[in-house]
Amino acid sequence: MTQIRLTRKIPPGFSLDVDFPLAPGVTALFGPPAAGKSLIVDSVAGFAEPDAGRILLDDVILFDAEARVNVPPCRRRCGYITDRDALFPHLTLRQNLMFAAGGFARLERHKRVAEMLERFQLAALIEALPASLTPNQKLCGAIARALVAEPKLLLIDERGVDEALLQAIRAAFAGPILLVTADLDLCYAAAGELLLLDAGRMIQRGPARQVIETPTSVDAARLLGFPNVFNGEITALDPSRDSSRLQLEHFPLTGTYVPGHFRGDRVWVAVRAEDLRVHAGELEPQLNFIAADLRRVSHRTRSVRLEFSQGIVAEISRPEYERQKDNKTWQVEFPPESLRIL
Amino acid sequence: MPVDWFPLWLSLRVAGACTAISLALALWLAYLLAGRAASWLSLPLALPPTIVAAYFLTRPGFTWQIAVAAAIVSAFPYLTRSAHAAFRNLDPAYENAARSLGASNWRIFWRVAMPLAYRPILAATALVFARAATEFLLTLGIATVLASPVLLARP
Repeated sequence: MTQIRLTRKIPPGFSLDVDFPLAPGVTALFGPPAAGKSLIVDSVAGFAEPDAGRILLDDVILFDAEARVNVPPCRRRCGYITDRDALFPHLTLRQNLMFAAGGFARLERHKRVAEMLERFQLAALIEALPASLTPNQKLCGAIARALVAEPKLLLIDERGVDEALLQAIRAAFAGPILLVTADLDLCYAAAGELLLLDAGRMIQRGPARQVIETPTSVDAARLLGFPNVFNGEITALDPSRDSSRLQLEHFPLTGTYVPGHFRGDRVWVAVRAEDLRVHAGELEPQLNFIAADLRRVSHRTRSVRLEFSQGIVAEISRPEYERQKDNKTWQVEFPPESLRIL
Repeated sequence: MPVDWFPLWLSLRVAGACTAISLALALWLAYLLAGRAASWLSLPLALPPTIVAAYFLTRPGFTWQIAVAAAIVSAFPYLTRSAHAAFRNLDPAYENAARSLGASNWRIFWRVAMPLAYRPILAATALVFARAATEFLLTLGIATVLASPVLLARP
């Protein structure tokens, strides 16, 4: 079992408090800057000492504040990749990997190094010094070097890791991977578990896709990039027709039935910008059509973002925008199944 | 006229021994302290050579070993200071990476820290050697009986 529980206070005002198990596969740490992601990684690797807690890796205690156990980094067997480019500059790529393979028998060492360089497509560069490599090759080299040492856990705190590289790592390494990332798409595509962090607190944890699809709190929704978050009250609930009625600050909405809530409950409603539809104001109003004034239009690479009054943000495709850009007045449609009640 | 090589040989011997011993001590101490600031390392530099010489004069028996000891006192702070600065200038990412790969401190020192930091240390070592070889006051003070490195003929 692998479990990470730690607290750490850094004056003034920052305090980290997390507790989560680590399953084999990729666990992503997602959060804004200064959320404590790197501090978690450093604590697990042994380069930062938590105030309290316990770090268990494969049932081996690496750190236990109460029992005063603090295994030094060199015996933790955690592969550690950071955005500080750390291939030894005076050694060639092959020598860098050989350094990591120091614990193995001579023949074994050469075999492992050659195999790992092959895996990460670095075989042609074995005699190159790090200074002559591209950033991506350096990253591959650092990962290959970490894997040569046969870690039990891989810690990656580097934004250059993409899905393809992550797949190559998974093919070469079967243990758990803790990945710090600010890329939600990467989490969705490649992470098994996702941990949302903000200001040192765990906001939400669970299977990556489930967390991204269904945030359970306002903080989680904001972190996950839901621009439409409204406070409101449940005014009607009808399980037989699978519907609910919500009165938000500026407008009412109809959603699907909300289990576990009662009439009169204060709730938050979160909706993704892409889930909203926009229509011309002259259209006959239908279910969940809200009249709104267009305040700002911002063009994205693949879409157009429309900011309306009452804090509504919609994102529509470019052709759709071209079709509607001459609307005199606007209505925003909230499809009932797109509402996430928090 | 026959050339007397003794003073030169003595100078080199004193300077060589002094440099070797100071370097070993300085590297050890500097690497040990590399994690923190240690400006007090330069404190012994405030000791004038005459005082060192006066101290060693009170020791009985003028041997070349005493000259070495006296030279170490003045050379050691220079070397420690340079080595400390050189180690502190290293990017800690390298050391952390090496530690995460399971390398011992000894291995990190020889394979990572020294190859990356040797240039300034080498420069300081050369200076210290030169200084120890030509140190006049100390040697004049305590080793005139043996002959000073600068006095190329025995008195």
